[in-house]
Amino acid sequence: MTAAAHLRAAAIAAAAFLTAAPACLAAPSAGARVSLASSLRASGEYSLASLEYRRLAADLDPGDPSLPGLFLAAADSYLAGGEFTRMGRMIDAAEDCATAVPGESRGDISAAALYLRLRRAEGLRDWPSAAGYAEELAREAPEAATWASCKAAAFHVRSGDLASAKAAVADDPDRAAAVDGLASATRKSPRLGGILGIVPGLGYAYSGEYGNMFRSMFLNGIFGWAMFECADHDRWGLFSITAFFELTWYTGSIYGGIDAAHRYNRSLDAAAAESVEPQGRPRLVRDAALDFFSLRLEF
Amino acid sequence: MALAALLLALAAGPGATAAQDARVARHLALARELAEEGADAEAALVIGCLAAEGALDADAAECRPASQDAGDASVAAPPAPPEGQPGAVRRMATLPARAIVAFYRKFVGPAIGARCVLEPSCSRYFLEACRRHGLLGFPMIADRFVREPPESHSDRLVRRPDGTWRHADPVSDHDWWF
Repeated sequence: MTAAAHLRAAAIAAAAFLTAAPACLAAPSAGARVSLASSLRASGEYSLASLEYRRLAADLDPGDPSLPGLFLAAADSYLAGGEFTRMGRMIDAAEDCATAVPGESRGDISAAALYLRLRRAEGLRDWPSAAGYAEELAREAPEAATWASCKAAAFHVRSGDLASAKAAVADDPDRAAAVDGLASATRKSPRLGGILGIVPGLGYAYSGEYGNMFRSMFLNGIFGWAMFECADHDRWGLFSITAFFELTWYTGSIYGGIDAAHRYNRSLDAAAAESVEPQGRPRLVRDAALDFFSLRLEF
Repeated sequence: MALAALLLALAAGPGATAAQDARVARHLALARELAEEGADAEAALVIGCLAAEGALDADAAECRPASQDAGDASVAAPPAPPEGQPGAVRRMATLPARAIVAFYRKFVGPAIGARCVLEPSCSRYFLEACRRHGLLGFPMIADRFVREPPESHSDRLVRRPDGTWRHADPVSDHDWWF
């Protein structure tokens, strides 16, 4: 058994013990179970941490003000584990519960939910949706406005919408200049890259990938030479094998020319997005001011 | 899915209060959700905790084949084909790719060991590319072989089940423009 398997078994045993203790022991408090979930998360057991939050939610009656916070905590743990589908379900559940709780007694989870939706879309590389959530977060949560606006600009840059990106950081001259720089940057044409790729390696060279160019030229040259040598000596069995490989390298050169141009353009976008990205990142913390479980954004 | 049917087969123990019944029902619903999400082990954990509490009648916790549970439409329905399943033509096109990968995995891979620093590995990338795009998978894998580390090794690291870290280089990074 590996150390990770031991840890997982211990976590499962602890979860079972805390919630299914024999009658001679007092039932664990909700605080202890939240601590258990936090410990599981800290040790990298993200799914189990989410499960503990969900089990805790299942213990509560519908309409309990802690429900939205617990579902958001589960979503946050799924985010850490990269489980975006389950994360989306948890955010939906949190929002559904929040609408069912009377307004007076529920925490304001909208900023936390929007933040998690933003992070989910970012994880899924759904840049337009991520930009939309960032803009909504900037409107909904004044304390997050600057951070969210910069994130919105970065997402717009990644999705190629430079006008919206510039509008999002209009108040920040440095970031606006970075967006302007991207607009004036020379982009590579994937079509031209593909056409140049007909000459093995040239498509890579067009996008500045000279190492790839030499490798492509070498492989095409050696297999092309072997192919013709085999044909010259009437060794048609070997010819068909070398021709198969040569065809693969040759079509790879054309495809690579196109993909290299896309890679070049993407790296331009990524560099510009990096320069407009905000410093730091908020985190979700428990709102200690409330007597029920709720999360809030902390910068 | 079979586990979902099992969960439905479990019944609350006698003498439980209405509040306890409601709580057990919520936990069973959670277990069913988890089973639908494909997390069978987590669903089993939820059920195990209920059983350990004595909230479930242990005699009722017997495994029953999913086909016997006529009340659960989701169990009775035939499984939907996975998203993006290739058609017959594309499956044919992946035959040479599968043959090459099978040869590599049987004769070459064991000799040289796991050397790929990318995730997915080149063989899985090749199969995935062919599954998605048929014969276009060949130029895609040729391009991956030719690419030097700065173009292949993204900043995104992926942790594999064996605990090692690899550079993420999924097919989706190279076919989004198709």
